[in-house]
Amino acid sequence: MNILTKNIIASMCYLTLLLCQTTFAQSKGYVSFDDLASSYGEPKVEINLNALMMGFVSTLAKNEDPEVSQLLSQLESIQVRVYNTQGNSKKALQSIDKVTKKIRKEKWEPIVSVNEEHERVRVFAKYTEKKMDGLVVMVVSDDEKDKGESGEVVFINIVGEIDPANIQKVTNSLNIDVEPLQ
Amino acid sequence: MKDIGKQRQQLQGKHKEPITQHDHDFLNRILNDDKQDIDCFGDEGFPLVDLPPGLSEKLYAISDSENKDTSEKRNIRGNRFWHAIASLAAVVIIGLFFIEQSQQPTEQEIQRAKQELAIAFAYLNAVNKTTNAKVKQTLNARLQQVSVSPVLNVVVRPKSEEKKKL
Repeated sequence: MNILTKNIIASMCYLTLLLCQTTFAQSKGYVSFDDLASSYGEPKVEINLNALMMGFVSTLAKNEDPEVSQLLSQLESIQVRVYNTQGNSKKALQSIDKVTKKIRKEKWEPIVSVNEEHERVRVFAKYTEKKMDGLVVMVVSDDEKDKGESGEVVFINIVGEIDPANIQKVTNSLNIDVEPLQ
Repeated sequence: MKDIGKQRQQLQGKHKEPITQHDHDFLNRILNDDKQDIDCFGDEGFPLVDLPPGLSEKLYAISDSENKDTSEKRNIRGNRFWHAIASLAAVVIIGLFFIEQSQQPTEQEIQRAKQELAIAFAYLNAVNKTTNAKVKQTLNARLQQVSVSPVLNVVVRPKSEEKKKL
């Protein structure tokens, strides 16, 4: 085998490895919530929508609402975890702090922090060259004993570009009446 | 006639098997330079003849063609290598195609994904409303504190001072 052939084969192997790396590497805007399972166990709500599913839903929405389809096409993946706090909002806040420390190291920027009497919200975003890579939303809502509802902690990670102003449009378009937070 | 005894002994020393009389005669004929001693008959008993003109060229041409054959064999081996690479690439492409086909979700899965998307966006919407309300409330409160309160103080104080005087 001459040198040229060896070089061609080496180049092909390198390109294949590069392609695999780009294909299987996690996106910049992705945050893993797998650690939370050890603190909370089974989630009350778990949603994992990957790029393939997002693509299909976006294609389906094209005929119904092209604008929403365009919005959905900019999203790569969505994951949602909702856990019961079981009256322990301190633990929920600690887990939020843990996730906050982790994502700050990965250069996520805080966008919004809300501290209400019965609800705390943290929103982080990651940008690369003025383009949004992803969004992380964390919410702790306390028990409402008078309503008989237990508290929840919600973790949402969206990979891709999303404009909060368009969230209502998408919700209306998908046309499902859901009351998630108390 | 040369002294071929030494050469015969050397050859005998190299070979483990004993040399027969037939071998001795053959060695004598090869190692002996004298043409008169060369046997006119070959090993098989056929008379030896001089090469006719042109035959030596033909014999050399055979060896040249053998060399060409080896280079052709090398080309064939190279072609086989590229054929193998092309076959492997085709197998990989076909495999990827079938994997992609198998990954296509069913109608049920797509509908479920749509519902999950709606739930995810409902949570986002609720958070969005909370944060929007809080941001507006905070901005309004701050703006009022900064702009409206000083004006009120200016307007209200003189009136209260007038009342005191009265």
